[in-house]
Amino acid sequence: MKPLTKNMFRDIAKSKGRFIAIILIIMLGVLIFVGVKAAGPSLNDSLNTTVTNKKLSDVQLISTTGFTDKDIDLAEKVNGAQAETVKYKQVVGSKSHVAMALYGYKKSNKQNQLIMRSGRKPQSKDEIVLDQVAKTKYNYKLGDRFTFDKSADLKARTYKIVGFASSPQYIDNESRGASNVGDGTVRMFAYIYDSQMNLPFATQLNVRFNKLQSKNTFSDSYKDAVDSKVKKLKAAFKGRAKERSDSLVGNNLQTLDEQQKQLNDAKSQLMLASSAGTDVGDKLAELNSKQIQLTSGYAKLQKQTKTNYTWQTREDLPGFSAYGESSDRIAAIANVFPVFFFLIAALITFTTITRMIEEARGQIGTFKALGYTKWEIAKNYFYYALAAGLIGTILGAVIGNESLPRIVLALYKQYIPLTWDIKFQWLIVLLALVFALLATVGAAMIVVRRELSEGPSALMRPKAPKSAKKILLERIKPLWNHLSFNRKVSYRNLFRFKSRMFMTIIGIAGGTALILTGFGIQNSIGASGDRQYGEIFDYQAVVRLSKNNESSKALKILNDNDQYRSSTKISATTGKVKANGEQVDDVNIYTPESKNFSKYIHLKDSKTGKKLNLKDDQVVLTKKMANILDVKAGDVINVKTASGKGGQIEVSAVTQNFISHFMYLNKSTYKKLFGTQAQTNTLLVNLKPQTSSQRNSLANKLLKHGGVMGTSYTYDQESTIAKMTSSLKPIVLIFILLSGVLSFVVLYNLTNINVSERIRELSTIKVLGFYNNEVTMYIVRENIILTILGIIVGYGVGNLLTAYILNQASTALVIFPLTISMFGYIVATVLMIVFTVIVMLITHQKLKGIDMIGALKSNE
Amino acid sequence: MSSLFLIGEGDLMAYIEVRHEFKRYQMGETQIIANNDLSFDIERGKLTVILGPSGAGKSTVLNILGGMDTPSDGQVIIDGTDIARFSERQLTEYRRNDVGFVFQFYNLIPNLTTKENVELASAIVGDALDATQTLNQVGLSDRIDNFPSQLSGGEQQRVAIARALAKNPKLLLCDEPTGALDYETGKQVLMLLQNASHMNNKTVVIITHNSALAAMADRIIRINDARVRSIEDNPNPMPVQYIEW
Repeated sequence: MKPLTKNMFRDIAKSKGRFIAIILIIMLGVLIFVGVKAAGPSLNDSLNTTVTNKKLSDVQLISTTGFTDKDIDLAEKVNGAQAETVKYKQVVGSKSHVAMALYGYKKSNKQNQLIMRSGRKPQSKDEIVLDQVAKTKYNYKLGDRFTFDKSADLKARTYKIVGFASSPQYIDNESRGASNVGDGTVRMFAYIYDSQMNLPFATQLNVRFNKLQSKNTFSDSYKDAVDSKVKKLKAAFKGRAKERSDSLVGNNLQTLDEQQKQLNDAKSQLMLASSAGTDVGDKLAELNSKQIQLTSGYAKLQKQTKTNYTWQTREDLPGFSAYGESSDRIAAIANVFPVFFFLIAALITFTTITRMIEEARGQIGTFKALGYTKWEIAKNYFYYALAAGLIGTILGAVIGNESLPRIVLALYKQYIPLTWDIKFQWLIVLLALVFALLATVGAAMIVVRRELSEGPSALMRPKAPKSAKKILLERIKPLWNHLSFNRKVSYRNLFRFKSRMFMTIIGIAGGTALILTGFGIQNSIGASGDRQYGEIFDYQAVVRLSKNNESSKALKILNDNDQYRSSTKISATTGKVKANGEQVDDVNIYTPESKNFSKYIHLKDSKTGKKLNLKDDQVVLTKKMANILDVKAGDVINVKTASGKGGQIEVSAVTQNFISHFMYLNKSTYKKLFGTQAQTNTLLVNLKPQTSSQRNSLANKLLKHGGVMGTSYTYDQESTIAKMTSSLKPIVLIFILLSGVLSFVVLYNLTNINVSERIRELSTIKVLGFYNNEVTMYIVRENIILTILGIIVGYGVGNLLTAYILNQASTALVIFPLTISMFGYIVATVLMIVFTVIVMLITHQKLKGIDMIGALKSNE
Repeated sequence: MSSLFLIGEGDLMAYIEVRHEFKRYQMGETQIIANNDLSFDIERGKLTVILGPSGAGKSTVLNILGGMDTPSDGQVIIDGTDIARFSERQLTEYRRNDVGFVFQFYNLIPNLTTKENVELASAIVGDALDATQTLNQVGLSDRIDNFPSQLSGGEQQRVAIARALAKNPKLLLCDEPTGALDYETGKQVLMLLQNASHMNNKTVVIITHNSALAAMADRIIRINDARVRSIEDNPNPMPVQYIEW
């Protein structure tokens, strides 16, 4: 081994601490960068693998009149399609009489396989497999009997529970979709033997394409491919609905026709009898009632045989798109947070390496004087930096890529058990490597070049001490003279080592900011719901009437309810709004019936916070859609309802709003805009706090007896947002933790550099008789000032960073108002103070042991 | 009565009594003996030169006298107290209140002005001298607002002496104070040290390898190869300006 190389290895061995510190910082930076970047894709990949393994259908078709083998053949005509049918029905069951999605179990079916959580699949006709939710939320146990309501129309009322399962069709444990029975929300699914369901035909057709399985379910390429398949399927099923209806009518019509014929015969006989003078009063009444029955039979037949198809793809399954969004949101965060984190790490590495080479100045001079070439000298530092950068990157990439996604996945408890699929993100690791080497090798090269440009004699002489200068503060005499001697020294030192000062401030500010951002992301997402349902919407339920202007039955039920406070009538419809070439679909158009509407929805100007009124010939828009459309008060927009009515209208104001899009207008404006009178079809209901069973029973009553189409509670929407917030918790927690570690390493490292740069100074004051704590304070006082400054700067940067991430993560429907809780500020501040204190204690121990004699005797 | 007696005794006793002092270092396998059974006295208010070639162990003596290091064995009695068994805290207190140091490489704080460097020392002791006055004494009254980097080597060493004197120490320890200075400036600095002893009654100890300095001392202790080779009193020390080397 060459002496220079030997020297390098001994250098590493001697300054193990520094080598490890560089590796550690690079590792942390790469770890969070790669780890967070990998988390989003891993979530997608894992779900994708799970649903692919369990053969989730790509397309589902639900028919009102069922499917036959002919339908399967028809579907399989589309290239690559595998189709199968299943009996599917929404029924009411369980002790709590909740709506359920009931499926007929057929062993031969291959798609949408159950993920058994406990027990087994049904093996006889009196057995049932229940949703895992039935166990966790409804306390059913294996071996229990499960009872359906009579309306379920099954071969038996009760079944024996033999297993609990999850299904790829229901990935989100909290969401089972909407129902047209019970209280309007499906609470669980269940599988019993196909033959147990009194349905003449299977009602759902599942179609799966093998070729599509290699694509990521959440990718655009999958979505495009599915769309084109759906188009082909629709083409194949063209005319099939009518054909199916006709064939059903065909069979039944014959029987009805026969009955009608018999009835006609009976009638004519009766006529004969009547003309013969017999009393036929009773007989006639009987026949008339028969005729009424028969007529309604015809009507019923027509209704029953009407074939309606509902097409759905994976996106339409409950919880599916929300899952995609949540991984997108993590990806959005990953674009900002880790980058910032990594930058700080790189900056600190840069400083450390610079310092290391500056310390070796005399040595470089000696080598140069001995006649070594520049490259021979430089390459040692190059290798040192390369080794540190490489080891750090490899460790960080492997740990980050393997651990963070797993932690996130493990904490995603709200979803079905996923098959973890964590791919190594080569591209991101490569990117991280480039930045890590820039910070290590780059720094080494820059500084070595600078040092080597000096002559050997200049290098061997100590570097001229940084000429001290009076600092600005000294010019403010009254203030400066007021400071104690020690403070003067600290302030002057701070400004002497400007680069270290900025590094420390950046480090502390960065750590504080990152911790605040962690809290900020969580708080802000939660705040969208809190503020929407706290400040803007002042109602607890939306009741949708079945028939326009018929609210008396619903109001009677409400009035009888103990939790009912009051309600207001509105006309609610949806439409599209266009302006400036942009379009917003799904706009809720609300027209209040009465003035007290303002007690239910508080319209406030989004800028001034002033209360808004609905004016004639003008509408009020919510903020997000106004942003998308780029309109403000006074601009004109184009409104169209689903039925194509509407036109141009002026915007009177933009109102504060966080979730969904709304357009508010008064009745006269409505009439002008849409040409018809606004019809009351919705009640906004103010309720006292309810329990979940009170919510269910009220919704049930309204659905059954109130002439109501459906009731939705703001509570459910709020809890959806709360879920969204808590799904980010793991990520946020990891951020806070790692940011803490980073700030600590930064502070420790910089203090170390500070001590080593000023070891002579510290030895001198120690020799002068400064007590140990005075020596420590001499240097820590600077840290304290920098920490305070860093924390304050961090508050600002944290807010900016949070705002930026929220902007990235916001969806078309939601505004996340920038909110960082007091708790976040306290945690960030306390952590930074704790770190400063820990570093102070470590420094104290270190300074106690410094060799003051050695430092003072050397001439460096 | 008793106080009179004590004063008398103090007059009789030397200010520093070193008795059978050993200093051993363990360097891996081998043991190095830096001080091997040293015994000597240093008188109050006198200037003592400890002379020896480099590596003789004289710096170790200075470190031990200055409370920067502790002997492995033996006694170091300073003004009646054995500092050899002092705790770290006691040593710091001793350095703080009783000792002033002057080093070969000045060791000024680069970021502090001349006056502030002196204040740095005077700030930590109770009966400190005025910083400006002390700087006047060493002839630097017109450089009090300069930073070390703006001063010559001799000027810097004079600041270091002022810093040591401002603490008003009982003992002034100087380690090769002229080592980095040229002939003329070196003389100026030595003069200051001689004056400190002969005019201000400070106990001054100078450690050097330059035997020419022996002439200026009241007592010369020669150390070589870790042992005291001779102790010699000089009843008529020569004023520095007459010494040549």
